[in-house]
Amino acid sequence: MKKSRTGQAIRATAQDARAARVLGIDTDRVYAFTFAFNAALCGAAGVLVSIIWVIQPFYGITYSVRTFAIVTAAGLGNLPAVIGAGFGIGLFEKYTGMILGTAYEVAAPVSILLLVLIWRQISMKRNRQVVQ
Amino acid sequence: MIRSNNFFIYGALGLLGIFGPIVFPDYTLTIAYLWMMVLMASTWDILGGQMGYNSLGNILFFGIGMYISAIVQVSIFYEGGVGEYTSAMGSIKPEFTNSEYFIGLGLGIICAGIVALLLSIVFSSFMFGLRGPYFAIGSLGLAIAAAEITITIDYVGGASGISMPLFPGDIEFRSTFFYILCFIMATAAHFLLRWLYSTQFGLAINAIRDDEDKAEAMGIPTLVYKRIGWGIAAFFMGCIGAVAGNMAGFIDKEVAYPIPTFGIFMVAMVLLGGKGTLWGPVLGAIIFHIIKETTWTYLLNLQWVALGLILIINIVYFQQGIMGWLQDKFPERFGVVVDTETLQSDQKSGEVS
Amino acid sequence: MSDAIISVSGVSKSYGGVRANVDINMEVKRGSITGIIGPNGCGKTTLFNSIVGYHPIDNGSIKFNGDEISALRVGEIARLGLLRTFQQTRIYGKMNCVDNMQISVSHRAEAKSSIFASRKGEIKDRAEHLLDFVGLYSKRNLISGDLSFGQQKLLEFAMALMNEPKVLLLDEPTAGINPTLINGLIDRLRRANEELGITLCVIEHNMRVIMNLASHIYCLSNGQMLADGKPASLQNDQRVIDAYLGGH
Repeated sequence: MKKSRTGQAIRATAQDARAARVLGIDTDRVYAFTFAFNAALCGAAGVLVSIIWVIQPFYGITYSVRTFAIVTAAGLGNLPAVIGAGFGIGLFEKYTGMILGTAYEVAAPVSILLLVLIWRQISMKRNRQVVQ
Repeated sequence: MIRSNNFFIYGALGLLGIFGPIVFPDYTLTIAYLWMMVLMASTWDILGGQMGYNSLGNILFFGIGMYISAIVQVSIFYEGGVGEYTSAMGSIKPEFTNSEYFIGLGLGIICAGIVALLLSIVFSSFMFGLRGPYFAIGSLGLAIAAAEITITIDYVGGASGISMPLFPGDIEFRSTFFYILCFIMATAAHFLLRWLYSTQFGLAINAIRDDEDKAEAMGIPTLVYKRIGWGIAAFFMGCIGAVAGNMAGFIDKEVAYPIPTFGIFMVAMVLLGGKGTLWGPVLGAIIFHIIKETTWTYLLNLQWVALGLILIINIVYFQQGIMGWLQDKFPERFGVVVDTETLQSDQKSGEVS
Repeated sequence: MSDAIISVSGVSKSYGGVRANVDINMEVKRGSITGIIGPNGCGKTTLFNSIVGYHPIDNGSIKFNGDEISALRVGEIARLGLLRTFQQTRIYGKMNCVDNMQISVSHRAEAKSSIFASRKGEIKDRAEHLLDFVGLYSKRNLISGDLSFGQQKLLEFAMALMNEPKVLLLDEPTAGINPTLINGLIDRLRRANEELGITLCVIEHNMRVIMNLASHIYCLSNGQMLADGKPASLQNDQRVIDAYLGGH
């Protein structure tokens, strides 16, 4: 994202798509590439999950919520924080399952999500802002 | 809104509503579900279309309403209490008299609506700090959280669910009764929203959709309007959830929180019909429901493929929906004034251009 | 009641390494038209944003009618009667002009019942009257997003008037306006100030406009207050001429 031309194009499009287009970046290509890259990473992650769990078509939704919890907690575009939050939430989920029982496992990341949202709201209030 | 055709539309829907189950008695429950969809779509549109806050989690109030109603209905006349009932896993079948059942049902529906409303007010405090896709996924997360947390509560049956008290009366009466409930709720919601959109409230939520920062900068207390909008949606979703629980006869996580199906259908119906219009959700719900029923009959499990395809085609090529498309084609019939005549008068009076 | 309806004292604001405002002291007198001038990037819009509550300030205090507002948020400040217009005109693009006006009515003493007030009636009459005041009456039923830029600017101004503010902060109101129409706008600004009693605080680059309109002008440069005073004295102030008025 930092060094390659494609990465720069992605960041430019994210910040101001119209300006990027005017300066010659093919934003449709950028969107397509980003989505494809995302799909590839998710596919690879899916392989890792399939090693541990039974495969089932509807598992994706809970992972989407976990993902959102991680990214909201870590902040957009902050890769080290996302990695850290990913580990953190994953561990928290497993520990919750261990201590409280596996029934609570799925509730753990969504609970964290809600807590993060509430905490964000409170801290944003002090700064006169909203979560964009 | 179409003015002169209003009478015809209400007439047609009224005919369908009143005579549908009489002319097609086998389809009574199907049409009841149709009215349920209309209600879901209409209430989703308050936030989604009129205010610009796409909530993927409105279905959460549906589920909560269902469970609350179950608790009220069982506990009100069964002395053992809900805990005993649920731990018996369906072996206890309480006998209610007719009046007990209906009073329980009525109270259940009202409590469901009110609890859903109160919860939406609580959730509003932190949910509306989010905008756009964050609000969408946040509300989805909220719904999933509610679903997951509900199945851990043994008082309401945990993962095994609750069976609802039996309806006193034969099957036909049962279908008709629930049909009437659904129809009344959908109609009440529609007329409430029709009045609501004609007041300052309607303008305010449209302003929030068009430019929320500007609305805030002009002093509009946006949180108040968001709360009211979501509260109305929550109330109706809670009420219809209570009815749906009784129609299903048995409640568990999949019945109460059908997030990937009905939770998303709400959005799909409104998109199909046209976001942010009074009739869009209604139209979309009717068409979507018809498509859903026919694809189920002819395609069985491929129904989901068909519905998914419709959703994608809608979003990619036809985002304004049917009502949006009609409004673009015939703006005058919707009260939108087009510019042509004013040009000449401008040049004469020397006004700004 | 103090004479100053807005008083800014010792306000500083930095964005990361950029010090946008450094120790600004300013007063807007009640009922006056005050101007703010200065080269691009000197911190004028940042000052406006600080006053109306868009971001927290690092130091200092901002008082409106004697009450401290530096910790309040945008909506609360707007409901106290302090409004601003935007440099890139912002209106509700999908609603028609009358609706834009109607929703701009003041939400100050908002009794809960007025949330559900009907859309016909006296609010609509006032809206149409104000649209006539700015010259947009014939366009009142058009979708506001379809208006030209100049017309949208006028609509935004009319919406601000509809809100019956005590103070209106205008961010470059003549930017992008056809020069022959500027006189009309200036006239309306003056009438709003004199007839409706609205205090104005205007950021402007058009010297002819601001020197004729304002009774007191502040000049910023590089984030600091350079000079202030009556238009005549500022025009002759060497520091102002060097920083801004005199060309290179």
